[in-house]
Amino acid sequence: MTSVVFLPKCNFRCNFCHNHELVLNDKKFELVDKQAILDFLKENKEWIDGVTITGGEPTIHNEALYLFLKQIKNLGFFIKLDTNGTHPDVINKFIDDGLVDYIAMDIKTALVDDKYQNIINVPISVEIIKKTIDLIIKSGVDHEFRTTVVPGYVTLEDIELISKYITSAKLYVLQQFNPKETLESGLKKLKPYDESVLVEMVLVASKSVNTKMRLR
Amino acid sequence: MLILFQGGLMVNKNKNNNNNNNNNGSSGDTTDNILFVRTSGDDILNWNKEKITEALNRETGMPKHQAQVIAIEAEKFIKNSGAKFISAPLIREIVNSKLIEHGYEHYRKLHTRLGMPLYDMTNLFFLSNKENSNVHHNSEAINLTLAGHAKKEYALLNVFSEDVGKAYQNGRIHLHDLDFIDRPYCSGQSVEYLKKFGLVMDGRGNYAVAGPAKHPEVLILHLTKFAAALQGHFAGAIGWDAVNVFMAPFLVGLDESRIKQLAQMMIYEFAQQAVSRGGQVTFTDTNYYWEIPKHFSDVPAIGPGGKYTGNNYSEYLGESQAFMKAAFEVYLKGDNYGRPFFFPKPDFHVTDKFFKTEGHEEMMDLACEVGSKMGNTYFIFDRGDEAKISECCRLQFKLNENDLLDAKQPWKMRYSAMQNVTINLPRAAYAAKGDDSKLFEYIDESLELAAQAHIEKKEFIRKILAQGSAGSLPILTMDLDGEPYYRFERASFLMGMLGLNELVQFHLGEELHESNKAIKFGLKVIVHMGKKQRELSEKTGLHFALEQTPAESTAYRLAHLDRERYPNEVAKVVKGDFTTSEMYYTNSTYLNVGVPMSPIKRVTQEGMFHPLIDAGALTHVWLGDSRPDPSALGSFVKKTFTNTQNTQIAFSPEFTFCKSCHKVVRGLIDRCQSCSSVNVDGITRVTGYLSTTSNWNKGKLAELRDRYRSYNLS
Repeated sequence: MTSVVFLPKCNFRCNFCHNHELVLNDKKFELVDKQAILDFLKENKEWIDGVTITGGEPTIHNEALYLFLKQIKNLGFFIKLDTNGTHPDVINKFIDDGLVDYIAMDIKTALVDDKYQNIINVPISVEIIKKTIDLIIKSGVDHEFRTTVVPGYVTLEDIELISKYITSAKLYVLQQFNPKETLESGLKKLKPYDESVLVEMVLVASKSVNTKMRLR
Repeated sequence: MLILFQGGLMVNKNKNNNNNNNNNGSSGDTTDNILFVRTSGDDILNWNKEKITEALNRETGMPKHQAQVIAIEAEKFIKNSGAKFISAPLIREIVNSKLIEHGYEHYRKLHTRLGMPLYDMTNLFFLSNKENSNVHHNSEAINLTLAGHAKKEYALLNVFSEDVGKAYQNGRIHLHDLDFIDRPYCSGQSVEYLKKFGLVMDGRGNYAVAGPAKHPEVLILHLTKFAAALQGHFAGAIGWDAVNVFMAPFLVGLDESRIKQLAQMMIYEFAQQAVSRGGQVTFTDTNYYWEIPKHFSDVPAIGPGGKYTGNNYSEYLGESQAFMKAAFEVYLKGDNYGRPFFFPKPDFHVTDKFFKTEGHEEMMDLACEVGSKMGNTYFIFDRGDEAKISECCRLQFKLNENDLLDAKQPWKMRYSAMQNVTINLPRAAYAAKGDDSKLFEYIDESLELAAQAHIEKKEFIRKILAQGSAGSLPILTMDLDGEPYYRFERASFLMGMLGLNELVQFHLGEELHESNKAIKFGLKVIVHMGKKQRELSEKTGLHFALEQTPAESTAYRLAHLDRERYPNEVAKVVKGDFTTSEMYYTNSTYLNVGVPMSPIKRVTQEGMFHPLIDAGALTHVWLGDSRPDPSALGSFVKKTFTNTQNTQIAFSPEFTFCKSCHKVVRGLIDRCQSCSSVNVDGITRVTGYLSTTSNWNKGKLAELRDRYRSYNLS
């Protein structure tokens, strides 16, 4: 069992973001004191095996996050980090100092600037994303790459391209899109792919990399 | 012109029927038919006031000369009334009003007529009943409600004493299943009975009798048919112990796909037989063990044809596990539309031995996948040497030494709770006005009333069973193993509780989750109840046991009754919306369902109450539309077993089913994502079972809106 810590703010603006309140409107949430989290972890040590750090995009909190991870590690917890892969240096440092045990990185769509930026709505180059992918695979740290399959943004061909780029990854996960919460409210009406399409995508990706489906 | 209604003629013919048994007013024919009169003018045709005299004398024992006076006055009243339409019930009420005028209260009570106004009957035809969300609207369900209505009135008038009846009507206690007053509450038993003795469907042998099954399909059919027949003898659940273990000797040499087929057959047979009372499916529990439980491992196994196989059950571990695995795979798939099966409920026993049995990791994974995807699995924790049969919404029969002796002859293992009575706890707090000793005194008195109710129900059931196979519960009197199927003197009697959270909130000003002081006080109340219950057991010789009341409609009913008497007090603590009727008390010893709380805190704190509640408790983890990773749930289940005293947990996801395109999606939504239809229905757990939310009562719908979902269990 893991405890999940949500950190606010993100450098992406994905139309289908399901945590958009955290990204755009983080004042809405009650701020939890860092010490309170550490106390909760200590108190429930018998129950909790690990801590998942997610967001938002956690790596934009660079130094502060480094200290926080260190404190969690000192308590003896396994740490999983979710990231969009835009801060390879930060991630590299975390790995070097043994602060993360598992990394789950999003690959939004095929690694082509136009396609990527159509989703993330910010001018960030896919080169930096690729750099993070490479370093995670090389690091030896347990990891997964994942893609949320949103109709109109991610096609079977995109999945094929991604899977071919990450052939030596430990795991690739295809996640079903949930229209319940989206940053762009128009997407709430978007019908998710049928499960059979997902199965087909998994089959295609499996030719290059170990792939799993996560329905929700 | 008045015309004698036909029913009257018909009944008169039978008047000399020798079967008439007048000592409790239950003659073969009803008096109302004799008096049924229809009018279209001012004359009375075929009218005979002597019928009133006779009825009063026969039904109430009123001396004839007194009855004649009443009859003359009633006749005069009717003749002078100018009424265009007179029915027998009306005549009866006119006679009753004369009895009141004369001060004959005792005779009036005995002369009561049970029935239903025309308006209510019309509603029955055109509106569905929501007391129990497992009953779906249909013609048989109308019969059920109609019969239940009359039986309930009968129970309050003629089975229970005035004190008990009053306490029920004003909401101090709740008597469950009054509409099934003539049946015990629920039953847990063993497949071995059928394997050894075959199937006597009606308990009398009037219909075709089958010998012990020789093939697994036949055994499954015996099981499901007998469960349906038993449902006609009990108000509540029909539970089956260790089904996979007892199926095992029939599965020797069968391959995986064949075993899967059999498991699928059993689950569909249970899930689809919507033929028991009220056209509902039988409320069934099936208990599963991954290991061969200690108390069955050295027991000689019964195989095809009712013969001993020569092996003990410990030698059927492989077949037993294969059937269990297959059954959970069937649950994982759901029905043809991909919806979870509502029944039979799978009760998965987690024991010390489980964790020592090979392959437990994979089984836990599968059970958790079912829990996460479909919600079916109930995780039952049997720590140490404890052994239980589980059924109903959370009821558990703990096996004592005697029961474990029975385990050597598993067909003997037949356990029943005869009745369930719930104590309204918030009421005690209102009455005590902050005074501890008054609070406990009030609870004691409520428990004494509950004990009295149990004594009275037991007496009524005793009378029915005394009629033997001619009585109305023939399966229960069937004797195939040297004693009646229903082991009357071994039945237990449940004392439930409702709204501990609101009691504590009113008494201390804090809800259970808000402070340690509140939790401690809550525990003190339940410890006190347990002590009093044991005292009453000793005093009366009845085996009372505390249970967490499932309170599907009770949580709503008692809150409403309290609002009439204690509006200001109720307003302070009731959950839901006080101003509308959508309000409820928190079930049993639960913490407030709406408070954001980690599932760890919930299973730990709610679990503190569980060891104090002998006959069953359960913690819900509401999942909403999230679908946690099975391995996370597995870890949570294991840690709940080792770190807490919690005795049972279940994970409850929510679904929406589209009635137009038959797609199922997670979460409760108003409009189908696939075809945009609004003809959708929600599916989730109500109290202790899954059902469709359109069948829920207003109180439970209010609770559903409030439920805090653990979205981030990972």
